[in-house]
Amino acid sequence: MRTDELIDSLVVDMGPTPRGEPERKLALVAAGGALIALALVLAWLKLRPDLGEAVGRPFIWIKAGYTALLAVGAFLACERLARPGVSSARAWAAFGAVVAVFAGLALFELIGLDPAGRIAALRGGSWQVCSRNIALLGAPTTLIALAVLRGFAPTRPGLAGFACGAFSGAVAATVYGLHCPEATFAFVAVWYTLGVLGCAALGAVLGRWMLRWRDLAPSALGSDPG
Amino acid sequence: MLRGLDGDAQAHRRLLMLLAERLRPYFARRMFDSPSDVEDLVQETLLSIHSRRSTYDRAQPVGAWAYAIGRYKLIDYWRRQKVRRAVPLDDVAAFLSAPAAQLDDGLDLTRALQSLPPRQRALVEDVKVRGESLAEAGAKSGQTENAAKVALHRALKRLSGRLSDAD
Repeated sequence: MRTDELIDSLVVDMGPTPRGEPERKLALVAAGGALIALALVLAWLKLRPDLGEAVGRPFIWIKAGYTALLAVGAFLACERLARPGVSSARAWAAFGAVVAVFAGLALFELIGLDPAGRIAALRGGSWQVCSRNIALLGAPTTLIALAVLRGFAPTRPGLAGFACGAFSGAVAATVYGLHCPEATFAFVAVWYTLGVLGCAALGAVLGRWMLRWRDLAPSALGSDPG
Repeated sequence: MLRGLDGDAQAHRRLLMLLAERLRPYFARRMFDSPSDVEDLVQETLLSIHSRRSTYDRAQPVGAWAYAIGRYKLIDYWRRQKVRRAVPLDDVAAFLSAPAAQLDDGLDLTRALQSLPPRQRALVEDVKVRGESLAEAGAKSGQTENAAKVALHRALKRLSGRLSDAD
């Protein structure tokens, strides 16, 4: 098929292209991911028994705020990486800044404790399962986010997959706060962050092949060769 | 590009034609060992550009967006051919300034020019658009010819950075 014939065949029956497609679809992924994580928490992990009192105290909101900000940073990175030819550096700087600020708060908290208290603050009661749980809650959403991003045009599949995973993991971690009773900065800074990064690593590995473009070859559009 | 996104099929058709004209030499220069595949790759890239046009951010230079897709398709082609080769990023400037008619009626360039400080912008316009000599343009702003040369160099560097804005 000749190139100008191809172009003609492409432009027949085309309508207006909606604006802000990546943003809109990623917002839907966040909503869907939150619902999946919520369903898993309700059915599998159960809500924390003292949830009623906890919402009256600040820490559960601090936790949720941290992971929600991580989700925003990763959302921006996903949106940038869905588009060819733009840089995602600013989004990653925002993501890194959120982690750094929270790590700073955790250090500040640990300095004020005696050695035994430090270990207790770091381990809490669930340090062995926290990261794993968050990664499991975020894994289904990571797959959905990758499938959505694949419909856009990521030119850096590994990094884009990482962003998808970080985004999904951060959404899941926010919901995980409904189950997890831990209330120290140190615990959240270490185990929540690791859970989110676990999802991100999963996304990076899967992204490397899931995000490769599989557009039809022009010859598959029909018409005679040559 | 913008009119094409709003559903103007003729504008979109012209855009694809222009991009095809730019992609052809871009690929041809880099695929000297397999010239017969160039046109196939041009077509594949146009198809991707068309089917992924919702990923174009309206504030972004069209050239940088299309270039990133073309570069991706070229690397993808080489991967399929099992060739490993580095694609230098710096030829984005050559791609953007290719002599074909302006994409988007020069919108990219106008925007990039506006992002320069006023003195640099005046210098670029005097020398590169109106064709004045460096000495004439420099005299307007009270610079020596050499100072104007340096300033122009900086302005152009900044301009090409602004236009590529790429990963």
